Amino acid sequence: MRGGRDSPFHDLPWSVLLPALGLLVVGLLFVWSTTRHAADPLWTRQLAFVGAGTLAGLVVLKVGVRQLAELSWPVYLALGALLLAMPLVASSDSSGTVRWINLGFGFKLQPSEFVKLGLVFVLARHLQHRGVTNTWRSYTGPFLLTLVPFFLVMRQPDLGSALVLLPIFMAMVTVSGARVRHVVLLTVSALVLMPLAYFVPGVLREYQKERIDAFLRPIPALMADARELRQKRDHEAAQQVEAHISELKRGTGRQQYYSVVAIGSGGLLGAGLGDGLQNKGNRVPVRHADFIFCIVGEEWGLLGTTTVVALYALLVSGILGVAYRTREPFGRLVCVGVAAQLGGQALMNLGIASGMLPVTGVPLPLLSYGGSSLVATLLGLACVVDISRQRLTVFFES
Amino acid sequence: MRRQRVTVVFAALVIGLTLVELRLVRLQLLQREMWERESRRSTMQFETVPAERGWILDRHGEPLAKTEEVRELDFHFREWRRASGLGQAAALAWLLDGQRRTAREAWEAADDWLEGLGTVRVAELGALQPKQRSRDALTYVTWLYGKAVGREARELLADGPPDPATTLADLAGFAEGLAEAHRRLAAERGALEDLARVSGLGLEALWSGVDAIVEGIDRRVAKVLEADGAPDDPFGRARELHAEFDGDAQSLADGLSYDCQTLAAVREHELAGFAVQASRRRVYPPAVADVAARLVGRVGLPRPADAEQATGDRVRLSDLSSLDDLSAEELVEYEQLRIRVREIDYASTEERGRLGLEAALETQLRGKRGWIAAVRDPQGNLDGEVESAPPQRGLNVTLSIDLQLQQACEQTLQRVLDGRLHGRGEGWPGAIVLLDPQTGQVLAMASAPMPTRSQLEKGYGALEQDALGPLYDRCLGPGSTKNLPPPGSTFKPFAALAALEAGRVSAGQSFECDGQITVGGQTLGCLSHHGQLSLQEAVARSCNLYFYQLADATGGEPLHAMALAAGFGAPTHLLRGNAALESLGIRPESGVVEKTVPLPEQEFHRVDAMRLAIGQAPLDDVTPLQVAVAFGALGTGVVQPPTLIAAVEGYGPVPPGPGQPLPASAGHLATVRDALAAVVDLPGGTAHGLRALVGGELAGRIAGKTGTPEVQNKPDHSWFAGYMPREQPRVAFAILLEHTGEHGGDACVPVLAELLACPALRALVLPEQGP
Repeated sequence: MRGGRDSPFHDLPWSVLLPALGLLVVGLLFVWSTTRHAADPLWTRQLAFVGAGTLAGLVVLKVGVRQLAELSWPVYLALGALLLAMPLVASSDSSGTVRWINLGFGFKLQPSEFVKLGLVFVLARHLQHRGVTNTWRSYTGPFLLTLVPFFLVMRQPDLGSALVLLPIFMAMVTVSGARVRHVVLLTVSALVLMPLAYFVPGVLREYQKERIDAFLRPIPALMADARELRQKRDHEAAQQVEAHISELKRGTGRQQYYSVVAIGSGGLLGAGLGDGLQNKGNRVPVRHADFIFCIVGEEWGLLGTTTVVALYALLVSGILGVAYRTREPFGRLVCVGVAAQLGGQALMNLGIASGMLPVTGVPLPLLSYGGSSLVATLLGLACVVDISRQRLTVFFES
Repeated sequence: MRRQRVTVVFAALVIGLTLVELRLVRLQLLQREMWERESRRSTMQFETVPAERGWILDRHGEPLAKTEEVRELDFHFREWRRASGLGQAAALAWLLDGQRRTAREAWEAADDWLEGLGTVRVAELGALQPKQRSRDALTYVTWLYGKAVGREARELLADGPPDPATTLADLAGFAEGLAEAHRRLAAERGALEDLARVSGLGLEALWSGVDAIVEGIDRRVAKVLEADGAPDDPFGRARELHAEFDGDAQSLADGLSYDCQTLAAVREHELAGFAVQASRRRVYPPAVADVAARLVGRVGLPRPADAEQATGDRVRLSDLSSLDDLSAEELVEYEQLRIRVREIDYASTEERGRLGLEAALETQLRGKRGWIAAVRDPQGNLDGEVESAPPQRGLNVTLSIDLQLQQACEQTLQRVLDGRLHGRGEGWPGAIVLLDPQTGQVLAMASAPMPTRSQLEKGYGALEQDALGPLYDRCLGPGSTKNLPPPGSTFKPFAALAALEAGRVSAGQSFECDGQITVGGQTLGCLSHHGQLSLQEAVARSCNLYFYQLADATGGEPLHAMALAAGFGAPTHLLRGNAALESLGIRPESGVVEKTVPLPEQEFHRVDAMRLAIGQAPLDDVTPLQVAVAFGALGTGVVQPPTLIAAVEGYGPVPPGPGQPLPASAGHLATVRDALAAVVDLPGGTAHGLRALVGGELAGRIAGKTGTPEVQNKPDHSWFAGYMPREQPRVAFAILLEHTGEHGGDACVPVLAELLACPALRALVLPEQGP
């Protein structure tokens, strides 16, 4: 029988692989649905990316996480250097952001996606034996390790990807022994600092501030205001509010507004794959990537969205299950980091698409179109698979 | 480290996902309706499909207004400069040196330009200021010479300043690109030559038209830039303005043939920027366009009130479609608004009736717009028809008007106005009404002065200023007199009838006329000394004194009652309030206006009754239509309400309205009728001159009464009204000429004589002779 401990198919964590497969399939279906009329039907490329990611994953399985762990620091530093050098090597797009490196043949590499995994590895190596203790000093290491890429990514500007680094930090620090009050304090200060960032000049760019404004005063709330004003017969004020709404619908608030329209109009069962009005009408920008979830909502309804949410829940539980069962600290930390990254990013994206959070550009893992995101995620999952198969082995001497 | 910590992380993520799920349930279950409405509203765009307007026909089916296909050649500057080789070459040349090339220059020199542009250095292209200009130039280079050349140029420029010696021609793919460009230009030239030929325009006129349009746009842009002051980025601002203005379609020519339309459609790729637009428009056949122009009216753009209604409805619909929950009333309103916005509200460029019958019968003529609700992406590309409804053609309306009779009346009145009929040099405004007294159908309704169709369409302002009031229909209301004319002696037959009915005067009764009578301190006169007269003679000679004494014997009340019974002092309800039309469910809107003055109730002193009997105050204001209807009643014994519409498509023929019999016995009616005949037959009759003009046989068929009412401080009016033929009348007529200072017989009888030259009218009077 083909098998044995060294076979790639031995002892696989199906609790992780099945949800991931489900999400990949949904992603392919919806990349097809959102781009089939476009000049470039992208689902074939997405399939290619899946292939590339799977290959990379198989390489990881062959090499083993243990070997890769040795490379944590070099990779992390190399990615950091790459991020520093982005303005020089990257091609800037129309709005002056530098996030991608052109690889030729129309393929682009987005380093910020790989930084997430790099951070997970480095933090795992740092925390595996020491952990964090009572003192704040023990946090400096992880802090710095997180903050440096955070600022480098924010500089691009890519607020969304930068923010994803924070749950990674929080989760891994929590698991490695942080005290409850420290955790609480960290969370609270993050929640307080973030709104402050809005007011400190230079931290956020104009368009990012506009997105937050649009989020705080969303169109449905403004419409309810207008209606109230009309009922009070204050037509002038109502007209002003309505003019503001029309402007928003054309401008910054548009993306999120039509995303919510798409989701809401899906109802229970949705309009059917490929038949969504907002999809056909091309009202939501980037609906094949960052906003793909809203098309799931429009075309598959509540059933579809719940399925996706459930799949993410299962995926995250699967990975955390592996973490739980792994006695070996490095492996556990890596799994927690991957789970936090995937879960946190998914939560952010779903929150944005459904209007719960202000818009930042974050792809939905495994679902959104995008090579770098897909490959990085599959690499992370491959690490989890490898760890799950070697959970009894201790990696490093303390 | 503790494994339980893993559980903490797990809990945090699961809580987060649960919150998201709750939000989704709220959006997708609880608020579903609202989001669906908004989704439809934001993606579905309506296109209206215009309905064909109903025709207006005369009683014999001759069209007075119809709808025909009109084809225009439109030019879109934006499309031309972006998608046609000539346009692109001209635009690129302009980007490089700022000089606008005319289309004619492009036509002649484009091939040479394209060759010549090979010597342009890539560095130059990159160095164009501002940056946007350089980018635009590169875009045009790509469009003209192909993607390969464009990409290479871009890459050279992106890698830093390129070798100053490199020209476009040195780039790979230039030769193929140039050859392809030449092929494109050749194809375009062929198509344009064909277009110029088939459209009948010719290349010269085509290019002049294009240049005029482009110059116009440039001027507009320059004006706005000037008004803006000195913008920071003049190129960018101008570019924005061009993006706004260039997209408008402008017409180069109209009246194109169907072949032209086909050519433009089949070769549309080679004719970028040119399109043949077909639309169905209201057309008034040139041969009869001026006939009854005022009555038929015209179409025009919707009124400001219509536009406001349309905008208001749209805004309200948008509001309702984005509200969370609608009350029951709001839901009903929402559905009604959807229908109104789709089918009823006028688009800003839609035709609607603005004057005359076009306006009065707008609801019937308009038909119902069709629509297509389609999903379109923001670029405007159609993604599939979702809902649609076909247009419904408007209804044809057949008038009771006889085109020939109308034309004859109008021509005669025009001759009168020009002074040619009476050979006097100066003429008078007036009105003629011809109607069928059995059914009430109006056969002709003419009033002079009258507007021509082109004056209605283009010189409306001047018409409004004209003191003679060509816009007023004197058949229905006051013209330049501002007051309706009194009936004058034309009322005498009705006075006689009233007196006979009241039993105060008998058929054989005679009175003495000695020129004047004094009553209560007032002296009332007659035109001459008539001596002893019978009723018949008094009517024929129109003796006032006879009627003063008749009125004295009868009293004012019976006269007043007879006036009311004959229809004086009340609207005839020709269109609005017309019982026959309302019985069919047709309610004309305003557009043909009737102005009447009610007959006051009052106490009649002797003088009032006397004046009333001769058709002066208190019966001071009548319209020719009222008079025609009243004389028709004398002829048939029934006061038949007039009607202008003979039939409406789909509703069938309009039945005659409810006629009221005149309150008079057959015998008394016969007496009065004999008197009316005597007006023409008797040698002293005021209309006796008719015999000499049309011959005894014809004149012997006609009965009527003249009138010469006095007007304060102005010359008298002239009337002649009656019916023909005497047995079984088929036409009742009323002729009015304003302020002639002449007797009715002298002024109006020649008018009738002239009218009787019209074969259609003769046929009605002498039916056995055939037309």
